[in-house]
Amino acid sequence: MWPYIIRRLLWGIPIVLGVTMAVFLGLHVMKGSPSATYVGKAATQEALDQFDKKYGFDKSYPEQYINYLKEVVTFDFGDSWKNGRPVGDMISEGAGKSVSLTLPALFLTSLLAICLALVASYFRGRGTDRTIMVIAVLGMSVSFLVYIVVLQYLLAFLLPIFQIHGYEPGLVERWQFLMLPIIIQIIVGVGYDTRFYRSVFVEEIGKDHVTTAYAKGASKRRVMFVHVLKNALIPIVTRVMISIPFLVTGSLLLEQFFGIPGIGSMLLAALDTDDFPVIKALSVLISLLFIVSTILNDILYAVVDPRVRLK
Amino acid sequence: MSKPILEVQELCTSFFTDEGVVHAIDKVSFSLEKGETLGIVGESGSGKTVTSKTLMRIIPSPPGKITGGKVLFHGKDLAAATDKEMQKIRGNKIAMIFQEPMSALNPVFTVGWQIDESLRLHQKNLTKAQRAKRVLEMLHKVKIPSPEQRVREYPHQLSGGMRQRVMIAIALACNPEILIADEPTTALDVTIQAQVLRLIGDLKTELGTAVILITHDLGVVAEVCDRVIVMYAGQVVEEASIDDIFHSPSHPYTRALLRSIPKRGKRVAGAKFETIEGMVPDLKNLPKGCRFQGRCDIEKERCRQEEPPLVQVGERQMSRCFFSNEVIASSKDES
Repeated sequence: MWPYIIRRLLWGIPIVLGVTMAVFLGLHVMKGSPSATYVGKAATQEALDQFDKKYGFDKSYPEQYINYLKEVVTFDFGDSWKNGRPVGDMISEGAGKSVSLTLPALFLTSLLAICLALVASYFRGRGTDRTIMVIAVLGMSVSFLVYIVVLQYLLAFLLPIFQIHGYEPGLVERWQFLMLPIIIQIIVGVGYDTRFYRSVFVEEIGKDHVTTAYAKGASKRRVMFVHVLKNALIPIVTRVMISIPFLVTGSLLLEQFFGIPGIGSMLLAALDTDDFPVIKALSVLISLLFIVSTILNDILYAVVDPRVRLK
Repeated sequence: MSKPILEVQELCTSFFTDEGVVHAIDKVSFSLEKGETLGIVGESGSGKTVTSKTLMRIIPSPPGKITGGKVLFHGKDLAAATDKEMQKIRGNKIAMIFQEPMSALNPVFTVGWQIDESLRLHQKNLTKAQRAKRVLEMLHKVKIPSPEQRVREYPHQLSGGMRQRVMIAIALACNPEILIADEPTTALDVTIQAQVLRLIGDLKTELGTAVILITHDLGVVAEVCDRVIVMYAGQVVEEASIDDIFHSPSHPYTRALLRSIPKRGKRVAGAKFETIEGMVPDLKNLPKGCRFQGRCDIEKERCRQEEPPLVQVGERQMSRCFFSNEVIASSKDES
């Protein structure tokens, strides 16, 4: 398996190169001179030259690109232009917050959706199934923003159970700020996921090997939890794995609305203020996460499906 | 004649679909004796598979439902049994193998696990080691080479024939009294077909299992069955011993089926194969009278007015045709 993982990681190199090239072109060529963007049009030529020299913008584009790649390899993107702090530090602080916002939500949403989908597919075509599906469709039909506004009003303003805005570090303190956005993510995601998993289970239930399992004398519950679920793990794994890059980048919207200083709000702020080092670092980070999560996905495939062999 | 172990009485199963009610099987009756091999023959859509799945109570429900009749297994009505009771019978007293060995095994469990599951479900007194021994024994019985290695393999690593052997091993693991084989060789190569049929025959003799063999292949019937029922459009149209079916069929449908078997030596250059013209009637919209009308070569006015009952026409032969005597007589001339 290790040669496979190493080879897949090596395949990631051209992807990272492509991403860095795109980011580089986007920032330097299309957006024009960073110094002009940053120092301002009214600045003296001397100030512009000084800025260019400091960040290496006086060099040719190929040289600048090579320097950028050096930053990628060492993962040292220098200091933020905005607050002068090392970008690496900012990311590691923000990532923790984003992950504690998104990981519990992903876990609970998937768990809840899988359970609901199992129940719905077990009773497919009957009242229980229809009720679950109607609620799922209703839940996903309402906009994200409605949930944010309504739930902030109900659960943080009228009934002050949760904090409406802001963040406090600390293993316990953070949850009063995180609970409400987590609940919102679950409500928004669970409808989609339930519908998806239900269709996966219903398809699996229709397969011949499920009839065989019944013919062997397995109970309905055993068929659902052993025979159907083990086979359905393949699409479930994919569904969960594609969410991994978003775990770290967080939910842009929720971080904004709830004032949580995670990666999502950091990215928005950096784009807003042309904070080049932060934009460069985050775009590389996101592409790396995509590569790693697809590799993880393939490895887990081989774990849950004996027909897949990693070669 | 010993007391039958399985008696099916006027069994009806219908599917309640959005397009209407499909009466898939209608008043099907037959019995099965200990150690006997009964063939159920008919074309696609005649109700053979629905009959077998109804016996096992594995009809998907909804939309399927047993709407009448009894399935007496040692005097107990399986059509009215609870799910719990059925779970104890399925795979234990009555086992089933299916048409498609490629998809009938669970792809994510090993062959050994899947045979072991039958034992885990029904033979709770066995220890893990005893079960493992029994699994290997079953693989030996179904003549799978190097079972010690195969037991750890997954279905996709086996050929179609091997998989059907594994299915047989699963089905026979608990020594069932009845084995229902639903077109067990249809999806296999001809050479493998013979091997699998011989295997079922050998194991049947060895274990004393009664077999219900569902097939559309009269050649298979001739090889292994003691008695046959012929189904058409959800009904039994003829029941007879193996000799009577081939030498004196009493229903025009049976006769037509026999004629449509290509015969060696009789083929004339340019001659067409004999076929039965027309299609099986739509089970949602059945004609008045005999269900075989429109395809029958001796059809008369009466056949379009009245539905013929299944009547005794010989010592152990039943026919659902008003003119069965005519058919028997003409068949004797032919053969």
